[in-house]
Amino acid sequence: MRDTLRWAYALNQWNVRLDVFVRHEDQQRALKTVSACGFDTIELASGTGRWDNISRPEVILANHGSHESFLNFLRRAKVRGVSSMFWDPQAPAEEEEGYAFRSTANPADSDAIVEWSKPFVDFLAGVGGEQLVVRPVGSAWMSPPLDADGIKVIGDVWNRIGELASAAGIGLALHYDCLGAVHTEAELTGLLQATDPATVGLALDTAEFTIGGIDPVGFYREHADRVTHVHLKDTRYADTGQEYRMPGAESTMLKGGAGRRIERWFYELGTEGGLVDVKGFVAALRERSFSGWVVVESDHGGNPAELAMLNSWYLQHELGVSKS
Amino acid sequence: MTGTQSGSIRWAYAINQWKPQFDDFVRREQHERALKTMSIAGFEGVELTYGTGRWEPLGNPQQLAANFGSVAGFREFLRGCAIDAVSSWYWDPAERSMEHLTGPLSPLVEADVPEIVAKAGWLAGALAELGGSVLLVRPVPGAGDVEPLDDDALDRVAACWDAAGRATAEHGIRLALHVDFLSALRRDHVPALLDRTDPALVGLALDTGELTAGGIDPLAVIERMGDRIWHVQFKDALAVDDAEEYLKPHAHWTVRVRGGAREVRWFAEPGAEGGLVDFPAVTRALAGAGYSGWIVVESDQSPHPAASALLAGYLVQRELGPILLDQRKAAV
Amino acid sequence: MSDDRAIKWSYMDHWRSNGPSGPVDQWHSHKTMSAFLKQIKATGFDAIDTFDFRIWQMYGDYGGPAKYQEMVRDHGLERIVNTFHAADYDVRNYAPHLPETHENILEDFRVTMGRWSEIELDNIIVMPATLYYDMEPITEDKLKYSAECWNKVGEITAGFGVKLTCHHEFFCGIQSEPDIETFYSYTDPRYVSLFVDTAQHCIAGLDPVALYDRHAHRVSGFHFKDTRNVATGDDHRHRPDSEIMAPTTGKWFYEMGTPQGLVDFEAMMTAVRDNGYRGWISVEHDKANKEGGDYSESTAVSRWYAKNVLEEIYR
Repeated sequence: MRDTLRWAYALNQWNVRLDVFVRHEDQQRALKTVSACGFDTIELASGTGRWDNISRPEVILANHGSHESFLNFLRRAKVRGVSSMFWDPQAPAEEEEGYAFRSTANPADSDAIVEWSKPFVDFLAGVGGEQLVVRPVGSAWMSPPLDADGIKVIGDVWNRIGELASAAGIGLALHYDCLGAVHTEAELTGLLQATDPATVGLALDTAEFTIGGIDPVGFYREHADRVTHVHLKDTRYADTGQEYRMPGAESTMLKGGAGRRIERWFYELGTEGGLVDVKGFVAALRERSFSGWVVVESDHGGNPAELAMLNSWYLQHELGVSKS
Repeated sequence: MTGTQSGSIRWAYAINQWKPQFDDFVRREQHERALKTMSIAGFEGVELTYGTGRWEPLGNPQQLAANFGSVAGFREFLRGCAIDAVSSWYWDPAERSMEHLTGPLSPLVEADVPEIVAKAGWLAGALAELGGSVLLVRPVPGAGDVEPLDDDALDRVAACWDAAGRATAEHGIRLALHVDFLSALRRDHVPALLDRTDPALVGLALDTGELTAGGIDPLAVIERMGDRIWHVQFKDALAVDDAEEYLKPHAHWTVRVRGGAREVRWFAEPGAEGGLVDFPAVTRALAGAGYSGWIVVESDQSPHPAASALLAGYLVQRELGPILLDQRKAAV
Repeated sequence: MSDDRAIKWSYMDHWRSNGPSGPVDQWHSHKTMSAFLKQIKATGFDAIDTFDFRIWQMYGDYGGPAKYQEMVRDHGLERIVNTFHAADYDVRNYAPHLPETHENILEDFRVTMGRWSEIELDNIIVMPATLYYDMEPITEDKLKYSAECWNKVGEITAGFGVKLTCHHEFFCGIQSEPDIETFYSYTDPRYVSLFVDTAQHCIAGLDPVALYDRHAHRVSGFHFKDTRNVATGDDHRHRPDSEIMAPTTGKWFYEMGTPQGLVDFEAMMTAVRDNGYRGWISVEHDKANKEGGDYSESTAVSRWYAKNVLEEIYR
């Protein structure tokens, strides 16, 4: 995409189950699809184990040998590089002390989590990525509400990792999601205040914000100086009844297991009944000359190629972005 | 159905859900997998849907012969998949025939009647060889595609199906009128048509999903016309055409296939989430009315055909079959 | 994209997506049509091709071909370039090698061309023969009768400003190299063109590049698609069907750029350049959804290949 904004595409929508998106030819097809849609940069998402071979830094390197070889793998499909990588330290991983369960909300876990971040920082620096995008805290339903002290504990961990990342030349962006224990606008603002603006930024995800009840356009205008990364996607629903507090909200809420039984929350740009003011949000980014990556994603919404192509159409024909 | 064999009722599954598009479900190995799936789900028969041309290998007797050597060869193929019989064949005379170079036929057009009768006999002959018992026909076109049916029209339709029923009876096959939710008969015409037909030659096929989607309670139909029911299809309805969209022209495409203005999915296998049909109640009512014959389970279409068949098999084995057994025991 | 390109890309109609009740095609509803056109446009196609039998949906759902083409244009695509005439060949009434059926065929085209006359088409594409098993043995007389039939049809379509062009399916009666050569020797270049389907020729054992080079002056378009298999034994004459039912091969067609593809597209594109062809190349991958494939992805991968490999040779 030729534009003053820098556009990338997230690969997470292809990796929908543990045994898919493992073979290199499948990955090449996805990369070529992204490329054919006009994107030459991708965001990776972390995972675990030998089948997450385009997700977990150590496994990527085991497959390709070096950062440069991995980049050559991307270049074969005319994808130039990696904008960013998503990591959730709360998600148990084989590589992190054998599926140890740790939380940024627990001060006793801080040292280990800082240690765990290092492969990501190193990998991103090695492939020329710019942002480590992280889930700052676990799901709200799993723990009591956070008070100011709790938010400070979380902020401290990310400040430490932010310093590490900064030393390696990359940014750290906290990614708000609709299930997280940092949920309200006040809590999110509190977390930003508890972190160092020099090393820790915010990843603003338009759909997650909207589901969580925070207006992405308003929030961006107010905190533009802290927003260093963007995920652009749409949703047709907002969490109107504190569904995020349901036990097992990852499944009960987001997969329709209970409550309103909504099986799909995330949609491509331009979806019928989409709640996100995509054009207004992108206009706000342009007003403030946003210099970070704008990563288009549709999460686990449907047929990945179809969604990438529909997103590309929206960028070209609704947002006026030139493809080449 | 193993373990739930209930005397005079036998369970079959309809093949139509496996063929969503014209170039799907053409290869032999796909047929084999579908039939084995039905079999292991507990169904002993399969209901076929009429089709024409070389990408409809199971569509008519000529295609069966072209693919399996003969109709009997297809029976052998079924046995190899542990399916005992073709329970029934669904045929809409408005479907053209590439094999006979004929276009759409209508029971309202007297000149078409001889060809309709001949084709009914042709299908019935094969059905008899395949161990089946019922030819299902779409008795009239969709409500939006014909003038409202007056007495004269109903007389002509009845005469056509009496004649066709006579032709199928020669092969020991019964002819059953399958009234769908788009039918010109939907608005109160079914009794008027049935009254005009010979009860020895023509019966009714009760399709729970079609009736429900058309806003008609299948239990009421069983109560009122139970003695005329010669065939039963169990499918669930997920929506009701309460805006009378069936009166629109080409509703087969715009309403049935596309889902109407709401673009809804109309049908699913029995027991699907959101299904509107009370299958235990319908099963009890059929047993109470003394129904004997095939109950063909179907989903019409499905995003996951094999899963639909297995889920339906579970429902029949665990819930509906035992209802029939209990009623038989009570009767004894 | 500048407008002085020698080659523009059109996408041939085939498409499936996942609906709530199973696979549907793009003609299912206005929504699915819009999603289809958006995806075609997003990847950089300039136009679409279609089938004759779609005209009923164009009339029923969109008010006719011109109105439907307006929708195509609203999605940023130029127009409908070609239509494929998928006829029901039958030795009783519709067989180019049987002169007694010719009048029926000619009448079919008079009616068909009238239906399309409200829009501008480049080509109407035909399979020039019945299924192989309905024509065999293939004799010179039968090839000559077929050529005479298409000469007359081509005269009719030319009257509507549309080229009649022949697309030689590997399972049709005119598919071997000598038979194709004989057939064209009897056809009138003013009225009958060749439409090169790279996969079909490859499956039939021909080199599509050599065939194109020999007939470049009368080639009016291409289907660029790939295959991984050459027909063997009776694959081309398998009863009742070869295209989907051949026992050796469950899926003949793949998108160009597929691994293990047999078509040498770089040589093909070089030949297109060297013969000075300017105009449309159609991309096709019919039945892409067989054996777990996906139309959207095949479309993206093939357009990727066109952009990153073929346009580097000629554009």
